[in-house]
Amino acid sequence: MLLSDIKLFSPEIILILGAIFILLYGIFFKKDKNSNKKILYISLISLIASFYCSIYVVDIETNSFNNLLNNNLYTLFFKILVFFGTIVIIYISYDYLKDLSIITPEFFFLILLSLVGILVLISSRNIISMYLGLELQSVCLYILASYRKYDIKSSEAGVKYFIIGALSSGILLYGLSIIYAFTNSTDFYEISKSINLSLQSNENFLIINIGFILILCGLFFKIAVVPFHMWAPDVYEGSPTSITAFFTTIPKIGVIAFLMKFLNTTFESYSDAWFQILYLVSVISMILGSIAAVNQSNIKRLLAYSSISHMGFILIGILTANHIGIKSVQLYISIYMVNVLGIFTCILCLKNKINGYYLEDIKNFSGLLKKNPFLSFSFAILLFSLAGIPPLSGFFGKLYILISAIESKLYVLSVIAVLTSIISAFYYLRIIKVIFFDEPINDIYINITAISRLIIFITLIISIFLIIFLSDFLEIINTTALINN
Amino acid sequence: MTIFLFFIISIIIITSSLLVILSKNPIHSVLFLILVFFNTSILFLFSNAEFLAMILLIVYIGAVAVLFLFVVMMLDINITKLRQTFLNYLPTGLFIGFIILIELIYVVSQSNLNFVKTNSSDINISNQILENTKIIGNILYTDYFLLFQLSGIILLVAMIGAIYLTLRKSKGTKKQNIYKQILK
Repeated sequence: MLLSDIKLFSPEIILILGAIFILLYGIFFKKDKNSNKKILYISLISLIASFYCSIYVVDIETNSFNNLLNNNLYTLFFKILVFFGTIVIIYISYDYLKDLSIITPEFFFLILLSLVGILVLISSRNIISMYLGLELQSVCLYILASYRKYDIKSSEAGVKYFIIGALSSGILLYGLSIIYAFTNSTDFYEISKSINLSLQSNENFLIINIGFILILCGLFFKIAVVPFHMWAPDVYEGSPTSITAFFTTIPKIGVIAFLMKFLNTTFESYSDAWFQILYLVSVISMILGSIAAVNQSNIKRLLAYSSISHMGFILIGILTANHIGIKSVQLYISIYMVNVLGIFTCILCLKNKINGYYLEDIKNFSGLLKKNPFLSFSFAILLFSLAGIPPLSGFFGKLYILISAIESKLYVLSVIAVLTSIISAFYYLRIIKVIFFDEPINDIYINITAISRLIIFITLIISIFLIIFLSDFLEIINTTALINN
Repeated sequence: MTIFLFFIISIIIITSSLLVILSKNPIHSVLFLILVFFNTSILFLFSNAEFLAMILLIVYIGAVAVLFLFVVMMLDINITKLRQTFLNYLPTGLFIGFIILIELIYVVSQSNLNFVKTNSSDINISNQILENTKIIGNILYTDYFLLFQLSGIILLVAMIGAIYLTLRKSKGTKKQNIYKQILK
């Protein structure tokens, strides 16, 4: 370990120190009524400092810690995305959890450390560092899922997520151990070389294939695509809403970034095998995600199913395995994150006036238009964008994914993708119909703070005006889309 | 001499692991389990794996078996009832055991899987100057320093999470009064 390693690891080190400081601060200033506000600022400062370090201090195209981690522009792109997402989540969670009066220093501690896990996962180039990053992230998420410990649904979500997550980690680890046994190395590039050798000599093909499929299954559990999705709706419904927003975006970005890098470097020579697997998984998750969401009445369940179909869409971009596919995945996932975070911020503003519960049932959204036009129009625009209506940002994400599919001559897949996105437009439109045209059922209390107004405003601007600066954004993606170095 | 000791210890392991499942009192079962672990760690010492032996002592006897003992004592299990269900599960258990036995025989007889051999000159096990605790330490604190620290952070998160989720403020909760305790 050298000093340069510490320099290259500085973003994560700042986050870890910040998390530990938050914990100690929470203990020593327990009596201070404003301590949670101060802890919010401490965590934001450490996030921004770490963000600054990952851009200006960490050198690009470097390996650190004896080739355990690898920093390049590709990882930097995803890290920036994850940082922005986490800052938004921390802000909206603070108001939400304070309102439920369950806010404790542990929340910020867990969010920061799960971010560390995601950053390690994104920049890993060794199967052990990748596994530890994934595990650090998941352990934090298990606890966050059951964060409302007196709420029975939240506890159920935590237990379910923990069992499924532990199972999937076991499957993943089994696959990794098989790969290690037959390639004798843990480095991604070394494994790739060994696999190429064994492909040429045509030995161990079957056993490496089994290991590879087990790894893919473990990763599919983490991004919740069909047939590994059963846990997602229950867990997303049970968890506190702001943490559901975290689940649907940030950890998925991390795993997708890793998956794309892993498939295109380590298992490049296995592209025939993973093309078929990803093709099947993508088709069934798009179909099930869009059909199962039609009948949902809870908005969190609905967004869970919609995230399943979006992940299916993203897998199309990954399986094309060409340059434009990778770029379109980067574009799609950043647009998806912005839209979903905007929608969750809107949802967190709505409460029932009589009992003070946060609204989760779609029926109860009726009559929002008269109460607050700004919120209802931003809801509509963000949902239209997720559905992929042309001038909004979501359309361009889908467009580039479809272009990459058509360039790889995957016509059937692109037709299925278009059909399923039409079905999914139905349930997004249903929410808009309830908001705009249905008779109000109960009184809605709108609890909108200045910061959530700002967040919604920014996400709206990005959704509407992405068309103007799309070429610049694609230029940025163009420079970061290179995985092989 | 070593081979003689090996056989004695193996016999102790086999008999005590049989007694783990056959003894009527669950506490005796756990105590026999501890005996199995202890003798296995001696076997590890024979094959120069002193790090594994010590880990087995600390983790399995010091933590896991003691935890089992606590759980068994706290749960107050009705033994006669367990006896009755034991016979119900016996056919299934025997069937699974038989399958595992067949698989093991198959794997051992058909072992033409080409495991890549580790280069023993790399790790320098052959000359007995470095013990393997030292070798593991050398790698763990230099090449894999990051992984070591990350595992530590995962354990910290698990600890904080367990405390957060189980510490509940209700009427029956017993709490310690630090000032009172210090004054005693």
